[in-house]
Amino acid sequence: MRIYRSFYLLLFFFLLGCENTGHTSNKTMPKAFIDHKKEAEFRDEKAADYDMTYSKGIVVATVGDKVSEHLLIYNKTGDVWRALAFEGDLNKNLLEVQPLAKDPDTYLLAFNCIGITDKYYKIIVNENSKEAKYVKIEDTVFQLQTWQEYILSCFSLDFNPVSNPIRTSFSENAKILLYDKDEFYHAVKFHGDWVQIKWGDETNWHYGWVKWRRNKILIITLFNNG
Amino acid sequence: MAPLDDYYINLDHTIQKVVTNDKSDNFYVQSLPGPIKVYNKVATLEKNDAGLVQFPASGKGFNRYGVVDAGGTSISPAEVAGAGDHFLRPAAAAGLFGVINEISSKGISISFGDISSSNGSDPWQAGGGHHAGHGHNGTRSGLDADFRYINDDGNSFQSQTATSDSQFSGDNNTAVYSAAKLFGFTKNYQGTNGTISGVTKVGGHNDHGHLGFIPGNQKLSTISVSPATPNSNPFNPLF
Repeated sequence: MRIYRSFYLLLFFFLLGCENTGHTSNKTMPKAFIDHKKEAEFRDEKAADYDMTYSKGIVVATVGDKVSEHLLIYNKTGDVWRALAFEGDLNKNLLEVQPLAKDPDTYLLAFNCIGITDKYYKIIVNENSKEAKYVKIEDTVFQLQTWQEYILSCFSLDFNPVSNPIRTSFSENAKILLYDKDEFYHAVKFHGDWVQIKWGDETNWHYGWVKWRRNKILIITLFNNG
Repeated sequence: MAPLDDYYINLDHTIQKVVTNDKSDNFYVQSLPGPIKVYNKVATLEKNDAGLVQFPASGKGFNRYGVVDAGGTSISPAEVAGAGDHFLRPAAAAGLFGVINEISSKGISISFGDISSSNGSDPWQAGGGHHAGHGHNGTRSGLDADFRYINDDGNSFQSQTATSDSQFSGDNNTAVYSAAKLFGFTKNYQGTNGTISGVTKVGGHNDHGHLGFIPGNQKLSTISVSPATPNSNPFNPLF
């Protein structure tokens, strides 16, 4: 019996050690002891995070009313990797890319740009594998936007109201405003790591500020469409 | 399951609901103005477990655009999205039929995009993004519908920059938003380049418009018997 007890004790400490590796948010406690509500909060915050450390901005496909326009993506060697289109035969090739944002219904295709050469933008074509390809700078279908420009083009944004509450101005000391999960928060303008948001409608806008990035990590969730 | 109803959608923007014991919700639109009320039956739709009806993909004066989203389990953000993308609360569906009835009389044909998925979440499938409205995380389930803007010919058209294109019709799109408002869609959006008076401008909507239904803003009443005038050749089916 003593052997079994020792085994279970050793197993417990072994599992404790395993749980504490690679999960930075919960380093001090094994999973079994995590408050599930807290865990959900961690998960939600993590879901919104996006590493912008190496980002040069966002490359957005802009086709206007030429919705069958071919969008050419190249390999490093300069040969075409994929030709895509929002409408027509090449529409099916949209399945080949998993960019930062994609919505064939609204002709949305946005890639994280992680490098700029004299001829190409280096873009991430698959956010899961982080596979990178290239589009030509001279191809006017693709336009490089700053993150701020991109965020302003989105319908709305969301954030963790506990760790990143709405404040009356761009200061950690500013008064906190009430968060309503049923509201849509639209980006208005930026001040460093802060973004001004508005909610309501044309007849009655309310304004506040939240942080949009922290140490080059995007900490808001973007909704391109309403 | 919510009670099953018949909706009578009138030209004066009122909607009368008769609670029935049928298996489905029936939708009738008034075909002619005047004291003799004649209705066309435009749809019979089954209400699902989420209390939503699937809006038809096409009919007189309307159709749909875009991929039918498959649904699935989204990890970031976490959400189980139902299959399909054209599900509405019945009262909102009644309002939308009213909008179609009114604008089609003005020669406008409209194309609808995403609404909500079958379980009321926003429409989604792997590889796509989420909509903030349209039911995401339970916010505004079955209340919102996207549409492609209308051109000078009275048809929805495809363009990423529709609101600033030369073929964009201010009059026809104003007619859509105005009819929508009268049938209870009062949380509406247009793109940042939009010029329609009284419609909120937001990002992400220069290629399509957005109609948002507010239940309390619809002129809906419950009645006990059909308002159709007897012997008036009622319920002339359109499709």
